[in-house]
Amino acid sequence: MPNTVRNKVIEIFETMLDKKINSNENITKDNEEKWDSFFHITLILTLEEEFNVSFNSNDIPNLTSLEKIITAVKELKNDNGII
Amino acid sequence: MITALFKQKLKRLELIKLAINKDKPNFRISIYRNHSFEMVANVLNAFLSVSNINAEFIYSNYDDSLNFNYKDADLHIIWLDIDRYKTDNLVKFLEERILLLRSYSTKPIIFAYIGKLKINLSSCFTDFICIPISDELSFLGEKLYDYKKEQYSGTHLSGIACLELARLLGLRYIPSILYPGIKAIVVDLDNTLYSGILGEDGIENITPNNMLQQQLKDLKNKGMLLAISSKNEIEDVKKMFEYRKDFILCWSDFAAFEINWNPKSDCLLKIATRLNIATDSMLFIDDNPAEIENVSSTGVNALIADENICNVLKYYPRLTKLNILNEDSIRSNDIQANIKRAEMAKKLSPYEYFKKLGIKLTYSVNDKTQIQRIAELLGKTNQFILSYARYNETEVEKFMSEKGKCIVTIKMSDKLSDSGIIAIAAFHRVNNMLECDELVVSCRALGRNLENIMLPYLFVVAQKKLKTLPSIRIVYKKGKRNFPSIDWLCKLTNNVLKDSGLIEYKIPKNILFEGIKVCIK
Repeated sequence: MPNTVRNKVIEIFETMLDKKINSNENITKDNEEKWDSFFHITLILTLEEEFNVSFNSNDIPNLTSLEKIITAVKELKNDNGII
Repeated sequence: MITALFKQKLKRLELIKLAINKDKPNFRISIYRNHSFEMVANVLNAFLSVSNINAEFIYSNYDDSLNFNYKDADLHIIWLDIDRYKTDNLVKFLEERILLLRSYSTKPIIFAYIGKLKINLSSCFTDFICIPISDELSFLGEKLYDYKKEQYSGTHLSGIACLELARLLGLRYIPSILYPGIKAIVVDLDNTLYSGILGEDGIENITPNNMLQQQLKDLKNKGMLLAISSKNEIEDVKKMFEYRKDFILCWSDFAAFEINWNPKSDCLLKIATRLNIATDSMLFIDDNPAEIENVSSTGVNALIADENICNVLKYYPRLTKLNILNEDSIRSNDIQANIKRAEMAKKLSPYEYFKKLGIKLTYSVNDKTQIQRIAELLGKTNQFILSYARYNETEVEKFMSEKGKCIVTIKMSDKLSDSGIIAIAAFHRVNNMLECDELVVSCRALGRNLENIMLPYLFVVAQKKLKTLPSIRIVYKKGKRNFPSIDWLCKLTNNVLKDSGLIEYKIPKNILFEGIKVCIK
């Protein structure tokens, strides 16, 4: 599996949700039972640590889906998605 | 050993993976808090798994008033941000609330707090630890708090601080408050205590591993026994310690030695016998994975001496002594003295032996200053223990306060060493009869042929205190390792014992203390 932002974010989600995720699966805060406020902050901290980035505090509440997170991380890494 | 738990910089994702455990939880932790604990809890099981604990957490609401909605648990954590309180008399308020929690439960309590004020409540309670988080995590500096994320995390504490707190609680504090500690560390020499091979490189060309030596020295100063197991020539090793004045550790820091070419598994078993401790109370450090494998059958905890060893030792479970008692600092001397006593016992009659040693026994009844040592000895003794009552500090205190009950202890000293408290018995009165609920003797006190003198006299002291008839019923239970105590009881009562039960014994009128000085407090 290529070492891309997408694949790494999916790996983090898989670990935290403790389940397998398909590459195009629609994972959102509303359709995941485990995704409560503590899951959210733990996810944010894990992403910051794994990608060595820092999310803007105001953006944190809006990162409510896998796709939004992948986009936000790519923007912060300011690259084409390859780690 | 899982390296992810001990490395300098913890990684949340690795810890989350390690914390996943689908087994049924075997431990309940209640959290009473006014800021969030969840970010600590979600990785805490990764660290607790080293001690075979799989915890579930029961949370209170965010409640400054600590109005405990009490639920039964194996451990209680009070988790406070004390800057939220405006009261002038915070310490008094906290003491009252902790006393209330203590009235519900005898289980250990951990009080961990953040805030500007420094408070110390440790001396007020039993089975209690006070953790000032900002002191414990001072190495994080400005990274301790993350005010930007507080609105999402529910705490001032940063993400990294939560990981470090999970490590401190899961490796250092929770196992230390629950289980008996490691009593001895056995170290290899070549490429462990120093870099190089003594027999090949020579005394001048080896380099001391100063960080490891300093850590071992610090542990020794807190009561840990040190021993050497090394494949070397003993004369070379003695010369090395004599010659290398730059070593932090010296020959006299070690309580036992196995310096020979025998298998290390045999050496560790010999050291365990010499120190009179169980193998699971020992930690062995060696650079050679084959040696680590060789000792795996002994039950000794083993660590590889790699570049991470100092960080592993910093956090390794059951190495942290929460309360350093007088007995801890005298233990090493006492073990050295035991070897001399054994030599004297071979040559002299009992009377001459006791007199020559100048043995003094001090019996104390319900002495509350001894509660910590009593609970410690009751908790960790495996060989001379009659009923496995295992009272914790709170239960000991309660036992001492109840009518018709008493705890009697014996302190022992002689010309060679001061052994401190070496025997404890708990008694209660049933009508006019005396019943012994528990009797334990420290293994350090055995082998002086004193058991049949000093232990029956415990019954005499209790009989006088509780004003009973001169007959006693002794509770016993056979366990995996308490053969010495059961054997003693069989011989004392001249009876064959079942797996568990009560055995009656007539307390002798006169006990001869020839050559022994006795004092009752």
